Amino acid sequence: MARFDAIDNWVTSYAGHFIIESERKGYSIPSAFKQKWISFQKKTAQNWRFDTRYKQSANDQAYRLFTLALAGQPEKGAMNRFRESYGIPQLSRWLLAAAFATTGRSEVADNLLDVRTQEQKRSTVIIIMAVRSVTKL
Amino acid sequence: MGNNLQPVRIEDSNSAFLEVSSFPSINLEKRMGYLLDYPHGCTEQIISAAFPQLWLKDLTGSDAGIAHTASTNVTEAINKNHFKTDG
Repeated sequence: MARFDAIDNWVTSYAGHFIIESERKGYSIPSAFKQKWISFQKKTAQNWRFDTRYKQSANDQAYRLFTLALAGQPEKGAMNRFRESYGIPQLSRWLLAAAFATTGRSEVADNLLDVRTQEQKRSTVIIIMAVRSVTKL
Repeated sequence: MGNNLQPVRIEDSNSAFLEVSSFPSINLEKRMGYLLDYPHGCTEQIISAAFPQLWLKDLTGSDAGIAHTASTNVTEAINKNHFKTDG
């Protein structure tokens, strides 16, 4: 039986990923599992908030969003929120790009993977932080 | 290629084969042998063993034996308890 809340987030996405690809390859899959998996992934994706301190949690969310997109159930709001965050870990960036590419938005995927934009964003954040700390003094 | 190669040493005592391919040899048979018999049983390992077997047919083509083992393994993995739900 699948109790998703009791197992690892990454493995939950991994299991769904496997089931989706199996279905694509023509295997018959347990439909109850798929439905339950989709609703768990959606709920978890919506409730998730980005915190730069928890890298693994970010990667979990990115993989969740990618597998949801692959299942034809993209959680677009969560994808966009995540994309606008600063300091996204590299692995999350790739998975998130894969999620956008899967939903047909390859220009967003390109942008996420473009090191120049990453560099630009990083310097913008540093400037904002510097200005904030100065104005607080 | 010239066809005037002379066999060296004692006739029928040596053999060699030449493989020509457009991409590097990945020694699939040996690797897949390991994967097809992968014995471990937690969810992550079951998936890791079965996942690449989804595409095995695309690579091995006509080798019906491998393809059959692979699809049995995938089906078995899908039918494991981990994918059953209560409702």
